[in-house]
Amino acid sequence: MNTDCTEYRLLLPNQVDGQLNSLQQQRLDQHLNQCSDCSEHLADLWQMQAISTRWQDQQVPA
Amino acid sequence: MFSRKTDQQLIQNAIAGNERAWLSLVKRYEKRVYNYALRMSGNSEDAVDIMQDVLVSVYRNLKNYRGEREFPAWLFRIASFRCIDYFRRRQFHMSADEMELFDDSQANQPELSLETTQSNRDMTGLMAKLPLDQRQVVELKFFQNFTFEEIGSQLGISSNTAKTHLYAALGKMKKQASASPQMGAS
Repeated sequence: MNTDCTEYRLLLPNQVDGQLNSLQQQRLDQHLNQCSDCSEHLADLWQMQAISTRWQDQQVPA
Repeated sequence: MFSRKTDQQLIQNAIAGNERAWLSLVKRYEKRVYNYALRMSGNSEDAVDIMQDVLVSVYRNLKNYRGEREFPAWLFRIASFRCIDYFRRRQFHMSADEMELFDDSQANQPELSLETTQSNRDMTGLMAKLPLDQRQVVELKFFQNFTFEEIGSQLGISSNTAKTHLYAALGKMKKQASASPQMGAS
């Protein structure tokens, strides 16, 4: 992981939350095009979000 | 025409001694708190204990709620503290064997499909192996949908530390999931 990655790793969750401004998004996209590690981390975040939606709330026991 | 009271209205009425208002507030949040506790503990018995602990603590502290943050964020800050305290008191270490308890609790809920039950089991199984601080970040981020600023504030850490915990948690969960064929697929 290089210095750039440290910065971009902090942005990845914001990308999943849709909280990046257009400039941040553009910079992140450029980085992701060249960095497979960060791309994999982003995929992990998306996958975790997808898995979490499978949870079905349980009733509180009486 | 009846209108649904806001959290703030219920809180004010509950502080003034209106028991029905308090019960309405409990009804509104108990399922969410119970499921939080279920994912954190992995079994229904501990989840009920944690939920009751949280609700008692919320009741005792209700007069201190100033409305400076949304009520759910305030409530889950208390839940995080109570959860830490609960595990500390119990010196809680969840093993794969203890996850059997979770199976039993779900067996009594026929409305859940096998697929869903499997998914719930997968999730608690994945979370069970995480240290408590990482488990809390996963819970607050993906199930309670708080921002990292809110999570940091609730856990008394910076938002960047919360993100670091999240990556550490995902790394461990991924390793676990790859060892279990059905968990990795989304």
